[in-house]
Amino acid sequence: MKTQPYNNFWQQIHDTARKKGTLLRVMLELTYNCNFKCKHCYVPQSYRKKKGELKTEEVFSILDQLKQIGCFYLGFTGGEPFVRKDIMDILRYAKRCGFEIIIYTNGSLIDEKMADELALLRPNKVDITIPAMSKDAFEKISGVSGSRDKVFNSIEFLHKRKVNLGFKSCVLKENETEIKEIQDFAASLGAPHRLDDLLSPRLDGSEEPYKYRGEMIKSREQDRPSVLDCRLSERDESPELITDNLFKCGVGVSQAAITPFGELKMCLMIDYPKYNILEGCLRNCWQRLKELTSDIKPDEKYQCNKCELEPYCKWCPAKAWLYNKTFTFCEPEGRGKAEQVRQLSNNI
Amino acid sequence: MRETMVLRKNKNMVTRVIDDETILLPIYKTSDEINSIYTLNRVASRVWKLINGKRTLGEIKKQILKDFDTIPEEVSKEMAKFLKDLKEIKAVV
Ligand SMILES: C[S@@+](CC[C@H](N)C(=O)[O-])C[C@H]1O[C@@H](n2cnc3c(N)ncnc32)[C@H](O)[C@@H]1O
Ligand code: SF4
Ligand code: SF4
Repeated sequence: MKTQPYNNFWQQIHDTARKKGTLLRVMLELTYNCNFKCKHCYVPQSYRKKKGELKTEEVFSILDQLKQIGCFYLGFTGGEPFVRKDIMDILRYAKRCGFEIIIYTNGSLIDEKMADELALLRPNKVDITIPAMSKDAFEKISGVSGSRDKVFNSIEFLHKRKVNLGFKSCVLKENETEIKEIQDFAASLGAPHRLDDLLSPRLDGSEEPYKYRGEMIKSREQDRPSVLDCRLSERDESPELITDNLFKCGVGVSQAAITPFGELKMCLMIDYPKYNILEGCLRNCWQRLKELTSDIKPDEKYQCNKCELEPYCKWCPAKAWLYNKTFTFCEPEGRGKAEQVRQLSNNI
Repeated sequence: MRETMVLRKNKNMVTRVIDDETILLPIYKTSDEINSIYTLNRVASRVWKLINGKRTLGEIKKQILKDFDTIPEEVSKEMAKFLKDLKEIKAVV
């Protein structure tokens, strides 16, 4: 029996997956429903009313197929994964299949019993969104009274049981003055915190979320270095930097996403095309998605390779797609932010 | 290797085939808690599949001899080493 350190194994399976086109990492949207009503949420309200989300057995079948084709890292997201009554069954099943899992959640529905079980299941991370520290700002964002206390109680349950935690926040008008406090809170629990100061349009292309964006860079001078950190940590999460490919994250090469209706798509943000796994099979859907992605090449609209702002820019083809349905467009919101970040790093 | 012995798998360990290699890993650990990943060769992964809390090691050995082009002495040696490794990491009881 050959033994190798986990880090070597991690590097090796990412390298090989990239070479062979193995679907190694998948984000699985378990539902578009949610108990919160965040105005900036990229999931359109209309998506929540759609019928036909995956039944438990169908999720299991997809997990079996993912296992068979060599997927190893699974992220569960939504909507809110914990609104599903069968969420713990799904997590248990995924762990028994031998996946490494991360759960993305608003945290509000995790009770002590679930925390007990999560402590045994040992996901790589329970990644909780903290919209704000103050009750007022928190509940203005979530649109649900009592939600702040629920989330902070859950965090306590999980932290006490030594479940690995991560936190995440979007910079919004309501929380722009509380970002430092959120980061300090995360640090007090020894947990990483990621910041998104550049909201995405909704999956249906609506730019309404932009209306709610906060202006952290302008308003909180003392927090500036962490804005730069946030970009670095995002890159850390995507080990597969493929420089000659439009998709630097590994989409269509070794990573993809699955909708609550069992459709394989490129990533959470790219809602078209979608291949129905239950009608075909995962292996074929993945093959089609890979072929499609490899056909997407930089066109005349693509300027990033010559752009001075590139090192500061958080552009990705998904943002371009959401903005105007091409994969190469220089999205003005992102460009503006890149200019700000460049100025900032020149001043530091 | 005692041929009458029967081994049971530790339910917290599973195998996965990743990149055509069979790996053995503990499932109830975060990636930070896993120090090492174990890779099984073809014979070892067949032995792992055959361990079911009922078959004796002698029966498993017989099956391996049927499945692979090898000789009894080789199998005994390889199985003994693999089972020692499995016991060391508490993958079997
Ligand atoms: C859609 S939620 C799903 C998981 C869970 N419900 C949660 O809120 O964490 C995933 C993450 O996306 C963030 N998010 C929501 N709308 C966004 C948008 N328009 N742009 C960027 N991030 C957004 C949320 O704040 C959350 O951190
Ligand atoms: S909790 Fe998550 S899914 Fe729910 S509305 Fe807020 S951002 Fe969207
Ligand atoms: S500013 Fe525009 S052209 Fe420059 S790297 Fe960003 S997206 Fe590409």
